[in-house]
Amino acid sequence: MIRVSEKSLSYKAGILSFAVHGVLFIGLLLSVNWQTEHVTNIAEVELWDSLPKVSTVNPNPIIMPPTPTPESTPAPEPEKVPDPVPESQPEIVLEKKPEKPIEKPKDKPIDKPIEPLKDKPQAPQDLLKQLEALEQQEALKQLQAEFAGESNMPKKSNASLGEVDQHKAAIQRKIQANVNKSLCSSGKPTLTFEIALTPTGELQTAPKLIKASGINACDEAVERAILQSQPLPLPADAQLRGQFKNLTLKFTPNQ
Amino acid sequence: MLMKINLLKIMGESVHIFNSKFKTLLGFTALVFAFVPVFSMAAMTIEISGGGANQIPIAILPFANEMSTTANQQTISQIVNADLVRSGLFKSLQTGGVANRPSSMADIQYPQWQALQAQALVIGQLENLADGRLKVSFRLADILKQSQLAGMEYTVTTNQLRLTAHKIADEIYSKLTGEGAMFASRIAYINKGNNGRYSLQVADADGANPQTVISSAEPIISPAWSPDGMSMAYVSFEKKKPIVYVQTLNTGKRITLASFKGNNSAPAWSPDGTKLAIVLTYAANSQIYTINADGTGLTQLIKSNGIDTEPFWSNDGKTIYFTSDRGGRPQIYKVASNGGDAQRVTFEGVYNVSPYFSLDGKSLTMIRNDNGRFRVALQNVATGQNLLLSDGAQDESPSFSPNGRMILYATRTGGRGTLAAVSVDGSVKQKLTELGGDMREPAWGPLLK
Repeated sequence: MIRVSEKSLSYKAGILSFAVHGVLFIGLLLSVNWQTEHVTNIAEVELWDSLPKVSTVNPNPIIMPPTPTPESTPAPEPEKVPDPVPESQPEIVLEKKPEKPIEKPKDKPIDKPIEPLKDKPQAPQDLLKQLEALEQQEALKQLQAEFAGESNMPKKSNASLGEVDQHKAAIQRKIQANVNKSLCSSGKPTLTFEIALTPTGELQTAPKLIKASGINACDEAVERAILQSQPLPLPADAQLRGQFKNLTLKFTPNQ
Repeated sequence: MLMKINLLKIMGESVHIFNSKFKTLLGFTALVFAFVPVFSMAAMTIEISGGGANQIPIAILPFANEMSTTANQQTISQIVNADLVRSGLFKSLQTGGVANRPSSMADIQYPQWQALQAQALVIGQLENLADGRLKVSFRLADILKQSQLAGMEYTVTTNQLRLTAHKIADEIYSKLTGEGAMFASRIAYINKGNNGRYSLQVADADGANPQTVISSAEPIISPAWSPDGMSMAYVSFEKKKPIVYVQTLNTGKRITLASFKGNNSAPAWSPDGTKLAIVLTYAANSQIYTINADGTGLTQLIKSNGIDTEPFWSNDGKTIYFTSDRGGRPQIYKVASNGGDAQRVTFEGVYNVSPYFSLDGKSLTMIRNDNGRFRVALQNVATGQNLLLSDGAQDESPSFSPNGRMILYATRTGGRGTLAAVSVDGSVKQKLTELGGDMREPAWGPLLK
């Protein structure tokens, strides 16, 4: 029965099916490529929407035991002791060790796989809501026009725009209060960081310095300000919160 | 229908789609899917101007065993703490209530220190060695990044503990501020004691550990550090007239550098330590001469009808700055160190004296008469921008810290001279209260090796 009634559509339907799948596949490919190229640091296994409030201040993988090595290996050091001059001796062996082991576990497991999974469940939900809302032709046209335009952001109501702005201002205030500009010399340094946030406003990875100020201490002071400002205040609404997932922070400490 | 089922499978949820709009929706859906990554890629930009913090919160724990091994009144961690706080760039956090005090990097419970708002933590220890010396080690932990920023070990004798503490403070300071070191250095100044005797004293940069280089019933003035910090030139009136001496600090041995007819004054070292510029009234009114460090090779640098005095040798050795009233009022001038024509350097203010340059040559500090008050001024050499830094009425003798961050000067309060320091941005002002007496003419020496 079913076959008979659908037979006349099967040809068109087949082509459309291929077309849609093709587009979807390209969409997926784009998504995967983009993730790996641009946001290599951004990754966490948790789901964007469903995660409850996680209270850890920093990503877990950082709390690692490799640090004991510097402490527990004072053995090589005594060789330097006989040095008759009572001067300082940079403790090369001990210092370098702790840093590397710390970095590696942080980056590796995170980088690879999870990102595509993360966006998928979220996107369809948004779409479904929109599709349902767009059952009327006018709405559809409006949205299409929107996509054709410059803005990539879905249009928000005034209320939600206000909430976004409020949270932008709150984030601005919180980080600004921690920026130590006395380490930024007397010129007019500008610097830019990119950060990726968890739903609870914690940093997913270390802030990424996009444009340095030229003053190392200033760059570090601003990075510390970002780190210290965790958790950043995010909107309660998951959809609005999504807009804060990746932030570009532009600093002008001496202005 | 098949299509719809596929679509629904992908979406993982049921959706109601009208057949009439089927094609349009399909196209739209594909479009939306293609745009999904773009949605999530768009990063919001937030601009943050200014800064609300001006100090780095740091926790400095007592070093293990420091009480039992430190004979000084202050322990190592206390000296480190005081140095950093005095710079004005650090806020020292109270750690008395912290239960878990780590003795190694592995023991640090980062959330605990994060809760205290600490950005950095210092831990350290002292160890007695078999030969009687001590091994002092410290670690500087970055609380926010949960990593080690610095760590050093020093093998020292007991009487080097204080210097070691200053060196540790320098390591921490440089690591966190990006600026050069300044704590492991010494200052010199003239102290007039209650008995009326003058003494040239040398102390740690924090004013502690003062030692007398020479004392006399007659005035001593104008102490000047040799570039290596091993010798000091000064003017003593012990023979009832001003004579310039150079004294080696650790032996006490001294030579008479200039004892010519008239006044001999205002010694200033060349950066390589082989020569000094001095001021003589030998042939006329205060004129500037150069002379070898052993007292030979006197040469007149520049001739003037007015008074030339207070020479200061630039760090590249090529220029000598000095004070002169050749234009009617005292201003700072410069001349090539092998002679030539003088050029005026200061134009702001009607009275500028006592020039002193930072090591990098970018900043000039001096004393300016500001409506009857003599204050420490700072001039940016490149831009000519000027800043009045001190608040006193009779401030004198400014000199830079080795890293150019602070300016040490003398000020008068209650009829007595005290030493004070101000940061080059004017944000930090401090007085070296540890020192008693009536103090004048401080000079900040080079870093100790």
